[in-house]
Amino acid sequence: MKSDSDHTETERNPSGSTSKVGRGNAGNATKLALGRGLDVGTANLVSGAQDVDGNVLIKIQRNAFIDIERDDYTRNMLTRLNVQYVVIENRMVVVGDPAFELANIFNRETRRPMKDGFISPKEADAMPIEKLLLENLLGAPTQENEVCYFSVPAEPIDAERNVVYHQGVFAGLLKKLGYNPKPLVEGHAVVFAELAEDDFTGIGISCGGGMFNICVSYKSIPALTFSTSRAGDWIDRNVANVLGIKASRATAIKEKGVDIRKPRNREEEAVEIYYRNLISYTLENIKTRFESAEGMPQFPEPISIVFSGGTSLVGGFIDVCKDEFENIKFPIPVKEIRLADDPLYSVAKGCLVAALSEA
Amino acid sequence: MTQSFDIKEVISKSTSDVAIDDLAKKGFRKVKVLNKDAINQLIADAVERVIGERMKEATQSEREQLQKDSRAEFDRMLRDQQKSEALLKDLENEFAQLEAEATRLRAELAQREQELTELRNKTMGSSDLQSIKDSIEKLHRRIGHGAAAASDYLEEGADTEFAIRAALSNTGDSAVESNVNKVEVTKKKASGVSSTLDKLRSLQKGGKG
Repeated sequence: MKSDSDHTETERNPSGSTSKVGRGNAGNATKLALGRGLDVGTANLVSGAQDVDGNVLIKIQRNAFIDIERDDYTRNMLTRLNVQYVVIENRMVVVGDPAFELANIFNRETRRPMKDGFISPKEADAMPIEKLLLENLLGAPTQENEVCYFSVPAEPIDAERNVVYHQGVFAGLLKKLGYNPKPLVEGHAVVFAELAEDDFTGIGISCGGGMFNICVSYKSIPALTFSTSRAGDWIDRNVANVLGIKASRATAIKEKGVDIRKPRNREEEAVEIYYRNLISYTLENIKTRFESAEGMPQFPEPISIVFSGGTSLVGGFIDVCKDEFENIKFPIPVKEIRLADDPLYSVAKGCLVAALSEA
Repeated sequence: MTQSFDIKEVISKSTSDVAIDDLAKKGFRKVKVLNKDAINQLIADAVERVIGERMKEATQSEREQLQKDSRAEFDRMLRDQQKSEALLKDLENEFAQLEAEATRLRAELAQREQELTELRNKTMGSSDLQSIKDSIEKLHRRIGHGAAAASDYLEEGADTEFAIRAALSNTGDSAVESNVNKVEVTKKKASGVSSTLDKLRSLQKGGKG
């Protein structure tokens, strides 16, 4: 591994030339260790890097955008308000969190580059926007072909998805930015980030917007990985349906501080019902896969189950997980069910750990 | 054997027209006038009388022959009549059949025309024409690459590599107007990974994590 102090964050403009940090998002030059982590999530894109002092630096962008009217006034206002936009084919597209906020204000839906955990081939503007967002999150590599581990979904058990396409597209985008891209199954990234104390043995679950990703690991080696297509967006869609509101509005309700153990009104009750259903569905699937999969390791000791991801941030999530866990007869002893230390950044950190370990 | 006897024509052929004045010059003051029915009746009476006279004179064998001829003539005429009636009936039946056939054919023609119209519409109007348009658009998309081409490749189950190449061909590399790089993104500090990394490296080297 090269010395951490050898590297200074430099960033590359879209034309490809390298320059010392000069862009607004980069701030002062920060010396970074070689190796980047990237969580490619349906709801959020999260990058992780480590500075030479051992601090983990996270950058996060909501993976969404929305079209608005294009005119000079709007353009100037957006920049003043620190709102990111892109002009694509004469249309002004607001990206990231502001897109989500605008969607709620105007009672519209955001457009999403990804759907159900995978890059959406039908979303025509997805690619240029994803490239810009990645460029913004990662910057240029410290050196050409710097390793960047990026998360990919495991094969879903309840939906037909083309994992190869998704993986190939993001690998291609990262290559265009000058990185050496390496895929890491999302649940495995959770194991890397959260199960060090357990010898990287146990179950890591990433609860994202588009999917739940599960990895059963023994000493850092994945024994079973799979994903399910019910996740945060599934809750939003169903809550929106029963309440007759837009999915973006349902997301806002969910994220404003609901405690699913103590719903206070009809909206929160709807969120609670679908959360319980989702958690129960996921645990049942893990149990079924455990019972049916060949070559599952015989764990000598009870294991931990760690939940991470934006969908696990709702109040009372782990308590409800424990409630639902009690209702099923899990095939192996479990010593602990807990939330990740940094649920929203866990996958990015796991990818970062994988990247740093190769440097 | 029998012939129609047109009295009017016979009279017309065997007489000549004389003007009243000419008759008067010749000293005729009065003329007798006979109408056609009276003449017919006179002839019929005359014929009756002649036949009656002849029959009186005819021998038994001649009478029998005449009866025989008359019956034969009657039978012939009856057969002709029956034949004519049968022929008429046949013709009526044939006509009815032809009418029925014509009706059936007209219906079939209408049906075929309807089918033809539908086929023409179908062929040129909807699916085939649409499919030609779709394939042209698809070719356009493929030529232009981009997300739409990628989507087509994936839907067709083509090699995923084609879809990936198509998708990556449209990443807005050329002159995209944006302020994305000028605006600060959300930055956070997360808990460190140094100890995790040490444990992982230790495990990778074969020791306990």
